[in-house]
Amino acid sequence: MLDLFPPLAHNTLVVLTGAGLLGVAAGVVGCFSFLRRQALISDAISHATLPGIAAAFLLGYAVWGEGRSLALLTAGAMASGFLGMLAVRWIREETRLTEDTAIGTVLSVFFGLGLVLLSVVQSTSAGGQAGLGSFLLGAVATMTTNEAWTIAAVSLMALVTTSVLFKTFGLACFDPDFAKALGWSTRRLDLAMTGLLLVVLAIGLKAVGLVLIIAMVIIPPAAARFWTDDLSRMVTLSGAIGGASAVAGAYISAGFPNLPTGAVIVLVAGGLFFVGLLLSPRRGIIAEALSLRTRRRREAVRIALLDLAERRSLDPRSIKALRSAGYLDPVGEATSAGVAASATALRDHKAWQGFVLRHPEAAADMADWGHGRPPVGDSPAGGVGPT
Amino acid sequence: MLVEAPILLNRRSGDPHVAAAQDLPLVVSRLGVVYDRAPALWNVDWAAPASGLVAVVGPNGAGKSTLLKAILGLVRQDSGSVKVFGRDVGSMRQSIAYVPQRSTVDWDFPASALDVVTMGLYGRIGWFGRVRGHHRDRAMACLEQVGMADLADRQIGALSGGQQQRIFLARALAQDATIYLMDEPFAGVDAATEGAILETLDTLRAAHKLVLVVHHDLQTVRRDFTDVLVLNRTVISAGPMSLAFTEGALQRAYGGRLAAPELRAAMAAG
Repeated sequence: MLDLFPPLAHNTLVVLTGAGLLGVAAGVVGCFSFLRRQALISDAISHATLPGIAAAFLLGYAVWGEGRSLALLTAGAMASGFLGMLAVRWIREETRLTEDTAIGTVLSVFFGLGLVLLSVVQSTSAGGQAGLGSFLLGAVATMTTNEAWTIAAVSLMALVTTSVLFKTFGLACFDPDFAKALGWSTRRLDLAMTGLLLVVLAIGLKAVGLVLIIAMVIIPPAAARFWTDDLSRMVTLSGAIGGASAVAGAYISAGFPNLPTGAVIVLVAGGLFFVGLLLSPRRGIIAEALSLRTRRRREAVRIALLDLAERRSLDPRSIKALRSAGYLDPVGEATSAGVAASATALRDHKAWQGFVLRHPEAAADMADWGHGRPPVGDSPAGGVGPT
Repeated sequence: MLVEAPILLNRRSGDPHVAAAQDLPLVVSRLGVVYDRAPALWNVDWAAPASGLVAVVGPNGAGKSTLLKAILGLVRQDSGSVKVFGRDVGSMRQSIAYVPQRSTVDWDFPASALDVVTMGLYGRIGWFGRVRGHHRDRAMACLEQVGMADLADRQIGALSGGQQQRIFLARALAQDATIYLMDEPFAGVDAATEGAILETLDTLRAAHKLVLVVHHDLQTVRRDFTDVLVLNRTVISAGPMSLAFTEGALQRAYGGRLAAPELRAAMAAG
C-alpha cells in the first residue's frame, strides 16, 4: 500500500503545531490590512525581505563563518521588510504616485536586490546556503523542532496582542479620522498593525516561502468575509481557515519532500475561498444570481398583474410570467388566484404611488423600492416617530 | 438668557483674545492651514458662542470641513491655535464629539449599527479596555434617540444613506461631549433623517451644548440655527443669526456664485 500519510513522529507534530499557529496568526492579522483595503502591502513586505535574508546570511558567514541561524535570518528579513514598507508608505504619501505603483516598484526593486545578493552568497563557499532556497518557496520538511517552537511562540504573541487591541484596531480600520479625533495616535496604531503583519510574515517565510506567503494573510480574511458581517466572527473564522490550510498544507507537503509547502497551503486556502465564493448564502455568487433572478421575476409578475388588473393587452413575456405563477390558465384566462392577486397588486401600487408623492426621498431610500406596501402608518422606514 | 450677556459682549468686541478665554468652549486664533498652493484656511479668528447651534456656511472650497478637521487636529495647523475651554485640544478630547462626512468610510465594513455607535465610547474605554454591557446599553439609548433602535443589529452596509447618517449622529451622542462638530450631516438625507437630526440638534441646544454644523442649504440656516459662521478661507462674518447672517456677508463669501433669487430666499426664510 502506498504510504501517503505516514504516522506522525514527534517532530512532525511540533512542525504541524508551529505551522498551524502561524496560519491562525496570519489569518487574524491579515484581516486588518484586508479591511483597510491594503492587502497588497503584504506582498511588498514579503518580497522586500529577500535582500535582508541574504545580507544577514553574509553577515553571519563573515562574523561566525556560519550564516544559517533562523533568528539572524528572520531579523534580517524583518529589517528589510520594514524598509520596504516604509518605502511604499513614503512614495504613497509624499509623491503623486498611487499605492499600486509604489508597491510594484518597491517589491520588484527589493526582490531584484535580493536575487543579486543571493548570487553573491552562492559565489562564497559558505555552508548551508542551499537552505536559503527554502525562503523562496518554503519547506516544512527541513524545519527543526526548535524552529517550529519559535514560530509557534511568536505566532501566539501576535495573537495575544491582536486580541487585546481587537476593538481598537477595528476602529482604526473603519474610521481612522474618528480614531484620531478621539485622541488616538493612528500612526502608532498603524505601526502596530503593520508591525504584527511584518512579524508574522517574517517568521513564516522559511516554512511557506516569500513568493506565496502573502496568500496566508489575504485569502483567509477574504474567505471569512463571505460568511459573516460581524468583525469578531470574521477574524475568528479567518484564523480558523488560515490554521486549517496551514496544517493541511504542511501535512501533505511533509509527506512529499518535493512539494513546496507554500504552494500546498495556498491551494488549500484557495479551495476554502472558492467554497465561500460559490456557496455563501448572502455574498456568494450563486446566492446573488438567484436573488437577482427572484427579484426580476417578482417584478415581471407585478407588472403583468397590473396589466391584468387594468385590462391592458398582455405581451408574451407577461403571459409567461403570469402562467408560471399560476395566475393564468392554459387558455389565457385569469385564474381566481390571478384575479385576487391582480386586485391586490393594483391596490398596493396605488398606495405606493401616493407614498412616493408624499415622501419622495424616503421612498427612494427604501431598499425594496416600489415593492409591496408603503410602511405602516405612512411613516418612512425606520422612521423617527415622535418617540 | 442672563448668562448670555457677557458672552455677547465678548463676541461683539470682535477680538477673541480679550476675554477670559478659559470660559469659552472654543476659540480659534489666527488659524492657518496649507494644503497645496493656496491656503485652505487663512488667519481664521473666531470665538464660538458659549452654546448654541452654529451653521458653518460658505462656498465650495471655503475650508469648512478643513476648519472642523483643524479644530480636531486631523490636519496640520500651520499657524495660530485652537483653544478648548482655554486649553489645547489634545487634553480636551473628551469634550468634543465628531460627525465626519458619511462618504469617508467603507460601509461594507463588517459591523452592525450598534457596533459603530459603541465606537463613540472608545475614547473612554481606551486602547486596551473591553466593551462591556453598560457600554452597549448606552449606545443603544443613543440609537433610540435617533429613531434607529430597531435596526441596531443591521449590518451597516444594508442601511440607507440617511440611516447611516443617523448612526454617525448616534455615535457622536454616545461621546457625550460639550462641543459637537458635524460635517455636512444633512447632505443627501431623506426627510425622516432630516427630522431626526433637527430633533437631536434641538435636544443639544436645550442642553446648552455648542454645535458646529457644516451646512449647505442657505434657506434653512435662519430657521434651524442660532448662530452662523460665514467662511471663505477666512472669517467673513460670525455671530448671532440676526447680526451675522446678512446679505452683504453672503455676497462677500459667495461672490457671483450666489444668484440674487437664492440670496433673497436665504434672507427671507425663517
